[in-house]
Amino acid sequence: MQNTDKSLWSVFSSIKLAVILLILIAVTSIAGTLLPQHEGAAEFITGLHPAAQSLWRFMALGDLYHSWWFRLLLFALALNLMFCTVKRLPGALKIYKTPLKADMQKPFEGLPADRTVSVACTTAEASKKVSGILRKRYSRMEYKDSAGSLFFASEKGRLSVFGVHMVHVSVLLILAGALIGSFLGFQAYVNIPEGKAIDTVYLRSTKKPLDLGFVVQCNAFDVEFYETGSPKEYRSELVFLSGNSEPEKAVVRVNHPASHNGITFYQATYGTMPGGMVRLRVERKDEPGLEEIVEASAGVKTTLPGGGGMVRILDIRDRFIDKGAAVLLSVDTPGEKEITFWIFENPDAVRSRLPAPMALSRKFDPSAAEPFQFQFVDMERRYYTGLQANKDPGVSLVWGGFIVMTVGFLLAFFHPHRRIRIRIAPTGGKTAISITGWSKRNPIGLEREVQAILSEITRGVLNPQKDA
Amino acid sequence: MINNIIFSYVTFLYFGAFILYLLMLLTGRRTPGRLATMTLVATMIAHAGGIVLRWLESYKMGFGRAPLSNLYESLVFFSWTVALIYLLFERRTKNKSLGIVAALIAFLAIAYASFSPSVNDRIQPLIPALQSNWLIAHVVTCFLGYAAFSLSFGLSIIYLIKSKDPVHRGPEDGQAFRFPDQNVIDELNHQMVAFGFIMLTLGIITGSVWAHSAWGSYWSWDPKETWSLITWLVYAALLHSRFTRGWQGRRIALMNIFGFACVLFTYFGVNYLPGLHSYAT
Repeated sequence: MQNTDKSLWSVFSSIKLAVILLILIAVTSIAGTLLPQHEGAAEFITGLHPAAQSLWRFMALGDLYHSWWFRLLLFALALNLMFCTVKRLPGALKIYKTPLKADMQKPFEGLPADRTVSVACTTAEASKKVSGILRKRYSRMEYKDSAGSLFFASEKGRLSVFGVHMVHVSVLLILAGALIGSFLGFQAYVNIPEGKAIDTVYLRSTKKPLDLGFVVQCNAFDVEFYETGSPKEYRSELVFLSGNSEPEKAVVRVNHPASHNGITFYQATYGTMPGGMVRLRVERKDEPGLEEIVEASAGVKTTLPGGGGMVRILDIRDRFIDKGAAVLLSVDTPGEKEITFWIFENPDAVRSRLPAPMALSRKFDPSAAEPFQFQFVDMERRYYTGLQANKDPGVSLVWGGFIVMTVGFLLAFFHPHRRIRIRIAPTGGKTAISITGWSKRNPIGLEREVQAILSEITRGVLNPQKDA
Repeated sequence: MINNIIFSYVTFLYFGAFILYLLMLLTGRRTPGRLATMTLVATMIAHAGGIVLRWLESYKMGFGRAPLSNLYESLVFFSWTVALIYLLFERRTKNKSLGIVAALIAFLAIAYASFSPSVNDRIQPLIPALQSNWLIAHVVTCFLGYAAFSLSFGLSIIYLIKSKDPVHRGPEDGQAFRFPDQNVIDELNHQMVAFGFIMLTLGIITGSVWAHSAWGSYWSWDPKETWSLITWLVYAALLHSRFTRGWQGRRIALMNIFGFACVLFTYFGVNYLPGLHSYAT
């Protein structure tokens, strides 16, 4: 039992597992960009073999990044990170806490010959020079006089032992933030026509309505264009009304969301919708030459030219099969049955798409209500603003993770832990200066630094007049 | 536009630098190496001048914005970052052997920008989604990362060439004109990857914070986001595999080449998948 515990522990804290998990998550993420996701997936699987379909459903391949097994991979990575941190952090702490000791003979054993220079000055002069150089370069310097030899030790970047651990913990923070967001947050959308107000938004995932608990009113929506015709700015002027507190005004633009009661509103899209008024050109077959433009509003009866008839608008569709607007009219002539029919903004386009119904059905005949003939001129269109409404209580954890990760990386890679040791020993009338360095990472950088210090020392003690 | 003219001259100059670095490796003489570095430095400066001019021109057109907003501008900037990072690398390591790869990549990127008919080189105003202070931070960090990964790809190729020819057989004239020893390449490559990895991380972080204010979500599994994460995971695996047995040297070089393929797909291939990052095409 003890044994299995131990082996599980060593498996879960191993770097090998980390590499395997990282590669597995990478490969499955690639699959997610190649397989159709969400809406596209439903259509895709109808063409598959039933067995493949059930496998697809079991593996939730249509929403791969939220599937149970992808989450399991992320969970395994989180466990791996935790175990690694628990296993390795005490060692890092020990390195961090161990005091820097100066008198150590061991690092100088077996040192290459080019790491020692012989200079013709006293040990005291050499010591002054060396400590000057080290103090300039390093925050810490220890010094010890031992059996005639002088030992110096300097170091920097001690904090960097925590760099890697900070990066690992930051990944855990980000994963925790994402988890909180997915359980306690939501992503929803809503379209608000100019001048209208809403208190309900619709969840992106299920399309179900969600009560906001307050009212959002859109006072105005504006689109601005550059001279080139490309959009410059989308701007919604909103008012948040909740209970008996003061109305709160806010302007939402792309990249500039606004929040109310923990819910953030983003400018996502916009569009136009019928405003309710339609202008119609009306002719009378019994009186050639009589032609009038009639402004008809939804639900209101409007008198037709020459009298003897009223028109009412029952329905307006902004985009009928993508061929412009369609308007459902109802014409009431005295003594006749009420007649309802559709007229179109682009009747020719609709006819080419639906030739048979357009030719045969009275429902699509603009002269169905004798003696009147109707033609669509234009209609009032109103902007609506399309807002994304999100709540994400996990986001501050994610931001925290980002900061910890950045600091961790900067510590680990740009501020590496380095130690330099210098020994000054009198040897037969001359003074031998030896230098050695140690670094957890970046041996090339360390080598460069050792060489730089060495050349600074030789320059300094060989030209003593500079110090005078 | 003057900036476009500068960029076409710069394209030829990068090619010139590439030829000089090639001559240096073939002949082992000092002169072509020196000329190559001088050419590359001058080209990089002219290139920077072109980018600044393009920036100023956008102000003259009435909608000043940083020249980092479409495929043309990103390629031009990418080419410049490759030259810049390589030159800093050459200065630090005192070794010119990677120059041939750097000059070639810089040349190819800007040549594609300048001569491909499908890449629009006009200065256009920013659409609302791109009007953000995060634009510069996001694009600069991402492309510094891409540039470092490109050079790391070059170092991996050199490593593999070197492993076929471990006994030095090249020119004798000075250290700087030869490929370094394999273990030195390996260490330099590790540092290059580490730098690229940090820049990619910052690129993803800045992009994520930006996406949160533009699209309402810091992560949407948009193909470009997902591929940048895939690239990040591959390089994360690479950085960790140094610490596991049996994954040194040659295998890391091969993994590096795979990582670079992911970078290329994140940059170009994603445009063939539908998603939110469509302005980068």
